[in-house]
Amino acid sequence: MIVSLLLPILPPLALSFLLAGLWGPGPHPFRSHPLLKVCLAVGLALGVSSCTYFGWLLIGGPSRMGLMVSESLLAIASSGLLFYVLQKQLFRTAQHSDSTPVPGSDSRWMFGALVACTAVTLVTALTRFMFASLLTPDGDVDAPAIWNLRARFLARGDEQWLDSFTGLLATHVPDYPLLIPASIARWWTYLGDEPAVVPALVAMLFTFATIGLAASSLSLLRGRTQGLLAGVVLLGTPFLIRHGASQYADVPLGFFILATLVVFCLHERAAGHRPGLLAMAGLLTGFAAWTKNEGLFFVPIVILARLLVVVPARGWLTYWDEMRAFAAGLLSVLLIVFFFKIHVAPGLSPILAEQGSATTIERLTDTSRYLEAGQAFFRKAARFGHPGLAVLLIYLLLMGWRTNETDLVGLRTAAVTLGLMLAGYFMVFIVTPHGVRYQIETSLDRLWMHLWPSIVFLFFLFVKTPEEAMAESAGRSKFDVRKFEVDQS
Amino acid sequence: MTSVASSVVKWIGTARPAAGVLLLILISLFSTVKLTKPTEQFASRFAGIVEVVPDRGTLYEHRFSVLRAVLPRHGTVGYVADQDSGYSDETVMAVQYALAPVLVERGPRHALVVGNITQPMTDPQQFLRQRNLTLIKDLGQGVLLLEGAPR
Repeated sequence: MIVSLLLPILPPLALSFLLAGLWGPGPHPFRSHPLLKVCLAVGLALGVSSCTYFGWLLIGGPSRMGLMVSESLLAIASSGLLFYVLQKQLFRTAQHSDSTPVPGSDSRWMFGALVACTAVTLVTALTRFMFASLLTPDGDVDAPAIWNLRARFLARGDEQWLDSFTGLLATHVPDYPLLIPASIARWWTYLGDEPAVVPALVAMLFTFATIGLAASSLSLLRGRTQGLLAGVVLLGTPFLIRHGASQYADVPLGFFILATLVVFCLHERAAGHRPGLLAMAGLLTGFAAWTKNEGLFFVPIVILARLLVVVPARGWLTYWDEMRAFAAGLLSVLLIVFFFKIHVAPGLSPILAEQGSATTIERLTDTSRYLEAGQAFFRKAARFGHPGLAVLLIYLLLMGWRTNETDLVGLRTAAVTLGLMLAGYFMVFIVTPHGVRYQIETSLDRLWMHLWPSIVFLFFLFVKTPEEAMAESAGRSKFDVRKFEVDQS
Repeated sequence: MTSVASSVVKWIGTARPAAGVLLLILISLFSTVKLTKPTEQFASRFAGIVEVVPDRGTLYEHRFSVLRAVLPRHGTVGYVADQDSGYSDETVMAVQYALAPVLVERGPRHALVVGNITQPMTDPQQFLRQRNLTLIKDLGQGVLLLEGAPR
């Protein structure tokens, strides 16, 4: 029963795991950092399969058998190619084994406490997610009104699948991208049925892959304790779990933003130029744009952030080399997004369509809008989830921060990207035609959710690990004792 | 004297990072308590302590499933309801979600119209007369398939 339910996602998941193994960190494609690769594979699998499903709808129409045959052929060809390349790289040379976990003298009691705490929060979060899904099987308001509704049109629509892009629908948002609806519709098409558990499973995969990705990548980059701490903070953010279970597209977008920043950091740790990792970053950025319109905004921001960070540090040539590999991944998805926006669901998003030069300038020069939006942003930052930024700030003061040359470019990329995203979201609140208060009440929480997992990742990349803080304190205490002895004498 | 001072300084040095970790752990554990609330609600409902009330989506899915089977596979149908809340975005969306891929448009100006009667006091005959609609089939639970006057 469970196997047959999961069968439609297993082949793309396996293929994506192979891809993550090929391009990902570690000396062995499968055994090194398996959790990190599985989490990346979840996003890649749902992203790639939604694209192939959409492509099949356009080319072959809504034929179940046609979809299965074409995807199977594609899967066999891709896996053959991936296996061939992987065999050649099975045991990578020592120069590629640079992304091994940071050696840390993990304090045993602290590590034990963290493992226990992670287990408790994980079980609670999983239970909460499952019960929330049982109470509202179709998700909260927007899920049946937008995402799952469109999935039904795609899966049930036969030749008229384009009907879901009509203005007749009560929620007229035809230009919303299709990663979530197409993933669900593809899954339903394979099953030949529409169990309500499928959208809940997609939501669950994204929610827990986000947490797993933050924890596993930080384990690799900063040590196990740091990874567990990030995991505990994310698991202890009730809104992440609640909103994940609501089946909106905000948590998946947050996953792709986080995954892009993680892959850039992994690239910095890798010895030499790794075009595969950069192509993967491009692919993940493209999937962000294929998930929500805010993801389209993320694309130029990543490119700009990389320019602002890489060019001063390494020059234009390095940036150009990086962008070529990045664009190879990005364009393969972005072309699908543009085709969808131009041919399937033309038209501007209401927030852009309702702008005019006079009204926009009027809004931009209205200081009360800045004040209202600014206050809301700061209030949200202090109280978002649990723990909010206020608690993280106290933690930072207790632990201190580090400046490590190895991670500096990755860290700056993440910081600049998140800063620009926040600035961009803030400006949306200023120019919104719906009124600042309405926009704050309806979307501020969700916009924070896009960035929160990446903020937590960036924070734990930047802050000292408990081991580093303890080692520093021990070193300082020796110095202090020596000073005390001199004073006594 | 020196050893005591050394121990105190060392303890303070170790305590600071430990306090930070403890702070994060405690706050994260405390916040997970918030997460257990829906679980309690769910358990209470299924233990019979509270009456089980399905959410709007599940309710509409159940009520309109019979109608979906008799509607054509595609096209647009009209939609009328017996009270203002029946025309709210949330209700129309729930009907639309249940009947997809058939498109649902508010108002009676289509050859086929869906009637949604939610109030037990509503008289179906009067409801139809007021809107100049003819009953094709009463599907029960307040769901009607009606003949309208197309534009």
